[in-house]
Amino acid sequence: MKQRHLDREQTRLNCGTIPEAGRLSRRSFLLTGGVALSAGAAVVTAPLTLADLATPETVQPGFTAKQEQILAAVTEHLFPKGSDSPGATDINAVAYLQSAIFRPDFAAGTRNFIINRTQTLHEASMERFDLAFDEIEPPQRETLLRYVADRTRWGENWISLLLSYVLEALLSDPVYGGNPDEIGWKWLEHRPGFPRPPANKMYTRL
Amino acid sequence: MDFDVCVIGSGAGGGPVALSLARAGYRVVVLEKGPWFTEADFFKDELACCRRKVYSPELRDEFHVIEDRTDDGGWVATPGYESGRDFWNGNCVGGATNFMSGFFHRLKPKDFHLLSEYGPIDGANIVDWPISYQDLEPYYAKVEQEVGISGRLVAHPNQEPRSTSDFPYPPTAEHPASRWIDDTCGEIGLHPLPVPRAVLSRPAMGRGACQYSGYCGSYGCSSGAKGSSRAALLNHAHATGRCEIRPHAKVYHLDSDQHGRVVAASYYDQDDKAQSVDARIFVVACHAIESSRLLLLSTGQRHPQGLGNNHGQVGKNLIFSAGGAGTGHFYYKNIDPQKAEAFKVQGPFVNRALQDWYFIDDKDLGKVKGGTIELLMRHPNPISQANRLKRGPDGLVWGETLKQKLKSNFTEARYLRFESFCDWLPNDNCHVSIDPKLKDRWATPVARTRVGYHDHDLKIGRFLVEKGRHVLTTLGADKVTWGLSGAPPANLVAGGCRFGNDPKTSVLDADCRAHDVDNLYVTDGSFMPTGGSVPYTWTIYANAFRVADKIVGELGGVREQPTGAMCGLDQMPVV
Repeated sequence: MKQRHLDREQTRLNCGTIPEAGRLSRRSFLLTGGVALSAGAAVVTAPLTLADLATPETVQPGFTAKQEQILAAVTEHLFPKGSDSPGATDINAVAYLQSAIFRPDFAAGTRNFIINRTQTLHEASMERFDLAFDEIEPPQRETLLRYVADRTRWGENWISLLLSYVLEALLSDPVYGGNPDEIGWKWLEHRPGFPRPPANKMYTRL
Repeated sequence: MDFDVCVIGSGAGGGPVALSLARAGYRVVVLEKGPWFTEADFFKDELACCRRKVYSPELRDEFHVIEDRTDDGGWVATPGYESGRDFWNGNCVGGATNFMSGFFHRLKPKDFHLLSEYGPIDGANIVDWPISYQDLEPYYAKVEQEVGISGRLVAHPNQEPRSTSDFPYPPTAEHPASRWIDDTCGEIGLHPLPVPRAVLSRPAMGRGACQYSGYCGSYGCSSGAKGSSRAALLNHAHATGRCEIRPHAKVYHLDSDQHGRVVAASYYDQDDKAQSVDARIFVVACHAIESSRLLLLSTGQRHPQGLGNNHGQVGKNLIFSAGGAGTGHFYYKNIDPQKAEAFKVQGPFVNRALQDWYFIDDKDLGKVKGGTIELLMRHPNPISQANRLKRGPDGLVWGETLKQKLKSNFTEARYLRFESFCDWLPNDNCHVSIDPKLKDRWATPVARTRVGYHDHDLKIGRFLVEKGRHVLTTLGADKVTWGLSGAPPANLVAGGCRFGNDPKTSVLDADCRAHDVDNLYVTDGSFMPTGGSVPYTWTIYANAFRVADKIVGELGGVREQPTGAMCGLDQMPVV
């Protein structure tokens, strides 16, 4: 199986299966995607700053309650529950994200980026709707998320990162906390390989 | 003297040397940068294999600087920690062989003298090899036995000559699609061949047989069936009692004396403390790019430009594998139900390749070197697949749209792929140098790799892609998506220290010994002046066994008849 380098993740078809290219680093993430600032792009917020990338003096142990509510609303909007399919809440998306990014060896810059932009989204929602993101209706949520994805420098990366973790929570081995009762595998009729990782051989312990 | 032989790197180039020398009675040390995993550590865990840095370094710590061509014909250098790109394929005992798919093909006799056979190509540095297929054939045969290659020989137009009648192990179990490929290709006059696999189809040599979980490439093997350098070679080398394997040993410099001979390998241990080991002979096999980097960094009194580099050849003529790929989408609703069920089978291998166009004689292209088309199921990694679906033509997709894409992708079709392998012509824009500024976490300058390709490669690639598309369409694919590019595949890299008879145009002599350092050998893929049109691993293994015999000769021949030699390994317990 050939594993080709791609410009950014797997945005164009080359040699199809390229697990390497989509790899999330525990310590380094692609933060700048070469996305040019378009006119008006800074309406919601400023572009990526050094503060986004700086290592904090102390690692926040987890999201604040408000951040968690906002992220729950964002991930559920990105991956809503269907009549016969799980949504972000069903697959423990926020808890999964939390366990992934609050590990001590996780890149502080990426962690801060996720947290800070959650805060930015919160402020943008307050400014535009006078309500927090978790309090606005789905059409308003869509408007705001589409706006930050298309019109800000950070939005695409931020949503793309969240989607990556949502999809991991959907399809990784349940030993990691997502995909409870193999709900994601069952929905997509996916058969895992064997042997599966036991708790004492999770990648975090190798 | 600590050891007779010090081997740097434990992958396909290191394992055969360590095993051969230990068996011949010599004391060997293998220095491996990464940890030492065993079968007990390998699971079908997509996060571990493919989405976290478990088997390769964090790019903040260790990276390559990659130079890409810009639109205006210049070159732009980007460090891997910014681009997310790297050439790491497995930093642990056994190296990348732990994670290979094990599609094993030999080169053809003509691959050894492409220049004589086809003449020069403008802008390409094609040369003949200093050895012939006949020199390597016994070692290809040896690899079949030692690594354990499963297969079945069938007649096809470009079958290379062999000294044995068939493979030592029967083929691995085959997917129902293999038969359809045989039938359909037969009808259009092609000759699909069962792909030899470095995967044991039955327990042998202390290793288990394949468990057919459907996840092979990119994953470490939990049964030992995969013929990694670790499972197939180093475990046995270690068992002789004469081979010490030191994991977490990152070699940063080879020290040479006033005569120009290498006297010690300097490395950092797990605690980042500088250590040193001395030996009579040093063998470098740490991956094409990293081997060139180490030689270039290893300056000494007699080697001011680095070891083996008195003619400025180290790092030059780096090669990858060229070609494109495509995916046939077979929708279950368009297939009869019985066949659809058969298509869903997961576990057995497709194991088919086409070498009908290994040598092309075409009205437009003329007589040119072609390549191999490999047929395989799309890799089942679900997170990777799902992640590819989060982008559409207009940017990110989410919500119901994303969910429908997921449902359709996973449940409505099966995907049969082709990958084409053709020569990556060596050229002046594909090489390794030392980055003038950037350093790894041990403050050692990193490799800077320019990855220019020759347009000829795309021409041949396009020809093969057309053939691959035709095959998938004829097989009944509803649609075939495909791609062709000059992007280098990170897991198929060779060259940089090519061998040859002329010290002015090569780094190594025909025995893979540095022209200007008489106790230094390079045995990974670096030696290859041209790469052939197949994955490299079998050729690297075979050549490393060949060079190991030369080293045994250099040291005075077999020192003692080892116990537990080749014939005894079958009696070892299955792990």
